[in-house]
Amino acid sequence: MFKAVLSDSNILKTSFDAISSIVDEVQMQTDDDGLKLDALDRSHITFIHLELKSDVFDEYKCEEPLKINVDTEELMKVLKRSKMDDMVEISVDEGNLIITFEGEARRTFKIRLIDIEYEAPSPPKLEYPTEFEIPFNLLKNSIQDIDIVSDKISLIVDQDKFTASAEGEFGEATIEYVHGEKIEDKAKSVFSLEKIKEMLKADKFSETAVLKLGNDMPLNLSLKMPADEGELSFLLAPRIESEE
Amino acid sequence: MSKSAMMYEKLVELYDALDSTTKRLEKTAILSDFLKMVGDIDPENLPVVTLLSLGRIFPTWSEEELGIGSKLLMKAIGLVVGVTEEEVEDQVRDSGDIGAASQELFKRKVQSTLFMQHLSIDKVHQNLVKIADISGGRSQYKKLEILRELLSSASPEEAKYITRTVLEELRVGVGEGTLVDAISQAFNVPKETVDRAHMLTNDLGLVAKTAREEGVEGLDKLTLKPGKPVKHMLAQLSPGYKESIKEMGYALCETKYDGIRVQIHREGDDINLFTRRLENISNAVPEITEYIKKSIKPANFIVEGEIIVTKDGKPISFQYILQRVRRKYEIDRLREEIPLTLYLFDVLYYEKPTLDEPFKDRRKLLEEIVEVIPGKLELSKQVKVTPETSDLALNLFNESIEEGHEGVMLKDPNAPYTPGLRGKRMVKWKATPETLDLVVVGGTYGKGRRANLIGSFLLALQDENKELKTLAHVATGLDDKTLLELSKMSEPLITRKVGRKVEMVPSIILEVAFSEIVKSPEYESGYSLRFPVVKRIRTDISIDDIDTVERVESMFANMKLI
Repeated sequence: MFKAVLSDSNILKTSFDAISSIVDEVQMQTDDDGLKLDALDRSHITFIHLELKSDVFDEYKCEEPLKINVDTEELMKVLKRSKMDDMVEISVDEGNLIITFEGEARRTFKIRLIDIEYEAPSPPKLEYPTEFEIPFNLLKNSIQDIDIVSDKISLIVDQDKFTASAEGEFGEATIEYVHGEKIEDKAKSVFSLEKIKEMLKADKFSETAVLKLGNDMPLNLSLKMPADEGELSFLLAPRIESEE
Repeated sequence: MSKSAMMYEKLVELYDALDSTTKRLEKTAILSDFLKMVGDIDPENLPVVTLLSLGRIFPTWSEEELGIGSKLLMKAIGLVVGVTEEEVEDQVRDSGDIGAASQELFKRKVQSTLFMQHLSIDKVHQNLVKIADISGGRSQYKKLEILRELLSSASPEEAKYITRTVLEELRVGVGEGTLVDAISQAFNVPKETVDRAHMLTNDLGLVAKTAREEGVEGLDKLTLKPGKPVKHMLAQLSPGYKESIKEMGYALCETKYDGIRVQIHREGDDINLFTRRLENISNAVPEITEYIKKSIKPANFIVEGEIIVTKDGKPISFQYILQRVRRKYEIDRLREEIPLTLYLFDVLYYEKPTLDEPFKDRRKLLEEIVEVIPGKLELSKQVKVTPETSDLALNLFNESIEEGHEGVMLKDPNAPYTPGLRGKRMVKWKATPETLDLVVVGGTYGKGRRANLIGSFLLALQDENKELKTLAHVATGLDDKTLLELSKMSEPLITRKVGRKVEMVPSIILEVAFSEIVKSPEYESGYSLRFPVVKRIRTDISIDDIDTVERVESMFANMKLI
């Protein structure tokens, strides 16, 4: 049997806020160590990795490894119904994922499991020239700034600064942040703003974001819980703009 | 599940090769070599590949469809390539078709991917089938997702043909006829045998597979099945009733009703009605199903007839029946307003195939199994005529015209039912002058009061390779309301605009009357029409059914004789 209880329902809600906007179906794998999910969007542009170790949960039991296939939008609809102080319990029965919110009342939802042929994708192994941390909110705000002028964004990092910039038909925007980390190279890649926005919907997972950037390389964005007991990370393929 | 080794790029090579020549014989040879190769290295996928070579995903009899419009497709292309929908629209306008536009856009694709998957034919086919399977809530979104998956792995050349296949317009100049020839060549079976199997099953994939595995013997065993519509047998124009009767020895002469021809299938408790373009109209005309249930002894069967609208015992205009057939809502109300009568005239299957039996025996069987319900379900009026009693045919003809019908049919009593063939063993004799069914390929906007209406339409017919050849401009015969409707139907089809002139995706079919066929170097067909007049918009036939250059040639020759 499988049962997992979380006192903070926000972790799931914020994770699936992002996940459900990127992929329509997903397979969650649970075993003794915790819950894990690897997913690739249908256009092969964004890769998602979610890992919640058993320590994240207030109560966790998984007797044998399980594969739970769900429609992410159906799951998100349910998660949206959670209230601030609700405890959330996850379990499965024959054919359903069961989500129970325990607060003023005990509310139970069943979500039909779906039949999918799923080959868990594994992310490409990449060596990055740069890795640095920035506050999550700063990143989110930068995206909103850029959104005024363009639908694509350049992310640049050098020895001193992390720069987000864009040039649109009617104007330009630049956000600079002194990262204070030891970085030797300079790296620049361009991404679809829409795709970054999808990832950043997970705004309650962590206060800091770890970024890895290269030249015309995928963006590696990782959100981690303080003691590494949980991680939500993304890999986003760049736009390769030909110089004209 | 079979995992095919065959890559989609092989199919792309085939499409390019087919597109590179206009000669039918060359196309046939290319296609035949390809089918043979597939049969050797990947026989399990032969049916799928055969259909895909025509740009089809499902056999003709199937009612499955993808349900993807060009708007959704353009959205998917934009998302995969990394450009806005407007940019995709602009490119489609520039390139003139969505396939060429995709190829261009994919060459300049800016959005990279994390993984590149090499597309196999299997993968493409499975995704397309998946798209057709999606229904219900959020189905457009789900279709879009699967389309994106497919396109994100496509090369520019692959994108060109995937998008065209999705919109069901492959445009490599291959029709069913060429494919039939290719199957016959590839697997060494007579063309007539392949043709027959094709007409009876409406599934060229199955035909190719059977031809390869079981040869002539297997093909001969293929037959029609209630539930799967077959193409209707067609009639030639009678050169003169006396001559036709003489040619047949004697003839069965029947009233020709002007309505919608239907093929009615009963399989178990399911009763389905199919039009000439094999469209299922059962839901629109529930009373016909009820009559059939009451009138014909239950069995698995296929019968054919014509549905007409009558008021006070007289048939009324064909346009009314279209109102019924196109309806999805308020069917009950219309049932009262526009009552229908079904006239049955043939039986193709009753517990077993009967189509190879002589017509006179089929008619006898029909009379045995049908119990007439006056005014609702009847048998076509029939008389037997010999060269000596040919006056009887004239009498029936006059009587038909007087009652408001179209004329008469003359049928050879010994002829089998030959699906899809327009032969001499069944001919029609109509009062009204002959008309042509032509497809609109362009137009010219009017001036002044009609500045926002297309006032003149450029029409085309098809040659033996299914390529369209222009024939005439038509500007008259339309009232303002129909003109407006036609202009509205045309707008989304426009691919190019130069001044007041537009080019259009061939889709709208018009029935056109005229006074004479003349030779003309101005039009691609080499002919033109004098005084063309639009009779009506035809939504009951498909572009494959439009008239041919060959027919115009023979009409031209006949006119000279008179």
